[in-house]
Amino acid sequence: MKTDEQLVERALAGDSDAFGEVVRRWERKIYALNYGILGSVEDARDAAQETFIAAYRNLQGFRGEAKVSSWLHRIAVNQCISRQRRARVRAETGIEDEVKATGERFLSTGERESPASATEKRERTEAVRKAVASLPPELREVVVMKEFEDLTFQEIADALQIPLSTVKSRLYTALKQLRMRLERYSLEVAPR
Amino acid sequence: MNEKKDATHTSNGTAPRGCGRGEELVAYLYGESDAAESNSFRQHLTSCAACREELSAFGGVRHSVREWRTEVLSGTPALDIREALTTAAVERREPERKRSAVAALREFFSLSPLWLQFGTVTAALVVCALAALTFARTEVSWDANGLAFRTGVPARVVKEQVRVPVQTGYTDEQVNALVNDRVNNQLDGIRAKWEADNNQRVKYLEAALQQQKSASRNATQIARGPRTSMRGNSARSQLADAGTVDPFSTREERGVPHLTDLLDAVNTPQ
Repeated sequence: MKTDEQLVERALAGDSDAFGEVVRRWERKIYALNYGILGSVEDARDAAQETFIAAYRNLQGFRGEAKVSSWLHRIAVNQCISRQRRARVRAETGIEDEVKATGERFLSTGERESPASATEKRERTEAVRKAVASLPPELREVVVMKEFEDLTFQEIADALQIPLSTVKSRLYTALKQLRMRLERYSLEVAPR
Repeated sequence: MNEKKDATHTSNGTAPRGCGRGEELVAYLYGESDAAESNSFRQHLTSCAACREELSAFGGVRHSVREWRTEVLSGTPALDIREALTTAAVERREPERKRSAVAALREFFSLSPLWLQFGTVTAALVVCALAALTFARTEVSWDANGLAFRTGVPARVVKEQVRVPVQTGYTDEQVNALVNDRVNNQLDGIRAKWEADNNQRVKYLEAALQQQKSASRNATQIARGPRTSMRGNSARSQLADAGTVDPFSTREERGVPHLTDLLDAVNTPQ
């Protein structure tokens, strides 16, 4: 089995199937990362497409110094940041906030459990989604990269181009804030 | 669910403060600390209730996020990335067309924040208004009655200015000529005075010489005559009698007494 770096080398040599293999390996993870940051199915899907297209167009810019996974994650995070910026501008100009609507649409599909259990789980995951979405972008990125992608601290530092200690401190702050928000949610649902 | 609730909130619903070892706690939580760091932090946990409680709560948070992640990954829609890549591959082979300036401006405008869009529109309107006012020859005035506009104002005729030579002072040539004139005048005056004095002396010497000649002639006739000095004195006295002032005369000859003579006269008893 070829490594990601070998596949990228072959793609650079003109083998289009090689890059297809890279996409197959990473598309779900990149999508999950995008969804974790953006909170919208459609935005996450579009951002995933744009991530791989941007990677393919910039294959020449890939240097073997970093891992392909770090390179792809960095592109994905940049795509998410630019999408968030555009969404913020749209929101300021009065366009409907799509994030919430699409997120809710996504969470209402694919349930196969009992109605009560499904409802409880949906509420809980919705609370988590809201809690993650309410984090500042720089905290949200590290949480999603850690929890969704299982990247190491060093890989996150490489992808975001920040010091290792910053990754740890941001993750610690993010977990503290998530904890407070989920506690608030638990207190709200407790009397039910 | 109850287990998770217990793990993610405290009895009073507020998160306790950590003890300042957050980074170590996170590294320990995710299993990314080395053996020495793990042992050190594990030892710390035995004596720090806040970190124990926080570690447990963070575990609950992670569980909740993982649950959400599973749901997200299970519902991954068709991404159609391969199809999109095929299009991208075709575009990559074709030379990229340059975007027009209008398209770039439109994109910049659409991505700009609301305040910038508002500012741009306002600036454009102000420029248009000023251009219209200029074109309509409108005069704008502001006084006690408020703002007033008057259109059709005739264009102001600016009189051609007559250039008047400005007397800024003397030129260098004029200054030099004036100085030369003044110096020459003074030199002429000095020269005239000097010549007048000189003529007077010459006349006196000629008169004195005449007197001396006549005196010497008399001496040949008189066997015993006065001394030359006396003859000279007598000639001078005659000239003085004639009203001619001797420019070479001494103080005594002019009748001006010495200070010592005056003192002697005072001291001499009568």
